[in-house]
Amino acid sequence: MAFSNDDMTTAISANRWEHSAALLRNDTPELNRLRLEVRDWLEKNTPAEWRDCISVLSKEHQRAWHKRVAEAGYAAPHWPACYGGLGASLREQLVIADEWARAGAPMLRNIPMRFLAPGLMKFGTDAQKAFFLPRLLSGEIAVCQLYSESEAGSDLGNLRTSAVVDGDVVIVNGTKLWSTGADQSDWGFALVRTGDQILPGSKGLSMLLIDLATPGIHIRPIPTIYGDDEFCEVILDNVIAPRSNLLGALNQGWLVSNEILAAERLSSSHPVPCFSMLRKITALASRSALSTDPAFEDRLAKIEIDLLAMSALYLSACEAAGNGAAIGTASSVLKARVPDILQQLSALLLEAASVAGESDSIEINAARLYLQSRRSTIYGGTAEIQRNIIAQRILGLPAS
Amino acid sequence: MSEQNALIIEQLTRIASDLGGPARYRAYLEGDNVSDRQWDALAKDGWHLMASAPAGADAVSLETLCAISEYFGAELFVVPLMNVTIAHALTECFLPPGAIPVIVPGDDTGRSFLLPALIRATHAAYINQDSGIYEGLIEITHDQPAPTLHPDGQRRILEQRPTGRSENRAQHALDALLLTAASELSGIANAALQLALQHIKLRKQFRRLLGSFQAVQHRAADSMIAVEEARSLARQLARLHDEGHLPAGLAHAALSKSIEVAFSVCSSSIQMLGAIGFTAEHDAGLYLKRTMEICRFYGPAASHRVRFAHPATP
Repeated sequence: MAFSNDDMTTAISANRWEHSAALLRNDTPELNRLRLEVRDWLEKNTPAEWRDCISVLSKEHQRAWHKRVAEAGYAAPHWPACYGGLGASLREQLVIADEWARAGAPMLRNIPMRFLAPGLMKFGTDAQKAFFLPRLLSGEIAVCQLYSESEAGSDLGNLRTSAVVDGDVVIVNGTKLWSTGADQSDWGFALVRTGDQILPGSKGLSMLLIDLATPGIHIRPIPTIYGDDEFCEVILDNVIAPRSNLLGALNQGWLVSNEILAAERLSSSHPVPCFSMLRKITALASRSALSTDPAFEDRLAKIEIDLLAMSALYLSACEAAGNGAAIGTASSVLKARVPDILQQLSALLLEAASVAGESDSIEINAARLYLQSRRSTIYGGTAEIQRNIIAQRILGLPAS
Repeated sequence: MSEQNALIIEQLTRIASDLGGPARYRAYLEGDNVSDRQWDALAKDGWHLMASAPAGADAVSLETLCAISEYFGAELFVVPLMNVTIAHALTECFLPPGAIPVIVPGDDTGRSFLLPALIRATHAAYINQDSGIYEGLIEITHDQPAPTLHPDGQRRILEQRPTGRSENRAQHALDALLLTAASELSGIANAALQLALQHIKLRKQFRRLLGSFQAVQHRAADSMIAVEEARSLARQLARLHDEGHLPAGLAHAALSKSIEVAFSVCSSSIQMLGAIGFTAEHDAGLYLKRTMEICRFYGPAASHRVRFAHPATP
């Protein structure tokens, strides 16, 4: 085959992304059965107006969708069966996530299902588990994370929100920032300072479950660059919580939060959202002049190959986890790499939409996706923090 | 992975460390007959025939060949054992006894390079990577000073082009070769990175270890990320190949990724080493030279990206 311009006229086909997704879709017969079940359910149950919608659903819609998903059993594939989950392997979770992305179905909120729930299962009291887990599973209550503060972003150990234990209660004072979905939540889980002073190594922190209807809580949504009020400022002014709401032991909050993050990192770093964006790019390119632009095609091929490599790494990590091996290396690498690729894809999408004359398309939403993806290298530990972790904990380099 | 495959990896990695390594590669570049000694050790035990084993539980998987290739890359082993064994499996029914075949990946220009370490090869299975077409088996005449090969200038012993299934077999063999090359390059990159890591954990400047500077840490982390990605891609695709599910073009994706990673990680390691890494005396440059040598044989990353985007359909 020669690569003259004549041969490039059908260079980019709309379904080309399927070619790259083949690596992730090398299903066993059991996985394929699960895939078809999920696909069928999503086809019948996803409202058309919610497909490919990048805005946050309203509280009512989110709750209705969660309830419907929970009734079908797909709300918590990663939870053990004893808590009402599917006890799905990482590979099975990937299949479900892949079908979710293919259908453009709304995601359930990650924070309650993937962060708080595993923390409750590991550190919660029987009463906490009995109250929260069924309600999280059914979507009856929504939960947000209350971690960051104005002086404690990447340097989370520097947080200052105080929590004074007084008999059976804890009195909380401080201001939390960047709390995603706090204005739509019923409860928050907060990292608070229960020790007397700021100590190195983040000692003296505790994890506390707070009912957001408690007097003294003021929530202010903060508009983001892409237009949604995605996160909030949460002021806690003499908020009284029962001491029994501590999750884990007093002053062991850092341990609890690290365990939650470690469990979470792999399950939320799958490459499916990237394939979802790739699907949009190839569809746009196939119906525009970009289809015959060798420079664009080379950039597309490069990012596709990066995405393939990341998918391969994800599968290797799934296998390691399945064999009971440590997944630390792969999960840290994924956490560092997925956001990079997502941002590069969003730039390519913006360009493709512009050339195709579809910059204003609500379906494509290129500009909003581009702006939204700026967050991916910031939240949950910045790209720089992830590289510090790799350098110091995996490569064994000395602390800065 | 079967016990048999694990045993093969163990034995071949021992040979790689006994007969490879930076000092021997340096000697090889200076004209020493390192490749002859490596070849003799491998041929004595018939390792060049391992991919021709009949299919079944004891068959050598491509995943195994890729794992070995990583070690061969890390040890700068010069004899392209994987090429010879894959070529043998492809061409054995056409070959005279004792012949040593290699796959020569060509392109539309019709000209290809031979690796100097392939000097013992007697026959080239010439496969056009752009078209996926098996052009035929060519008897190599070592009468040119430059290690180049042009099918029109050589005596073809198999003028008739194999059809149908044979062509698929050629593409299958080419894909296997590309994936082992991708693994070899990820092994080279990882070895270069380890060399740099040793240095920045010991060397002090401004009364601090180099490895404690965040700029250096992030360079090292990015190198590790790149190596892990390249290694995983080649290994996972090798498994798809073993299962007979490898989609067309994906082997080119893996090689393209590994070529870029090997160049960037080897260069980055020289940067972390500083001036000493730039000297002929230090081993760091050897990994970059080996990368360049391999890429001369397979062609640049950009060509493989095009072949990934436009898979050949023989």
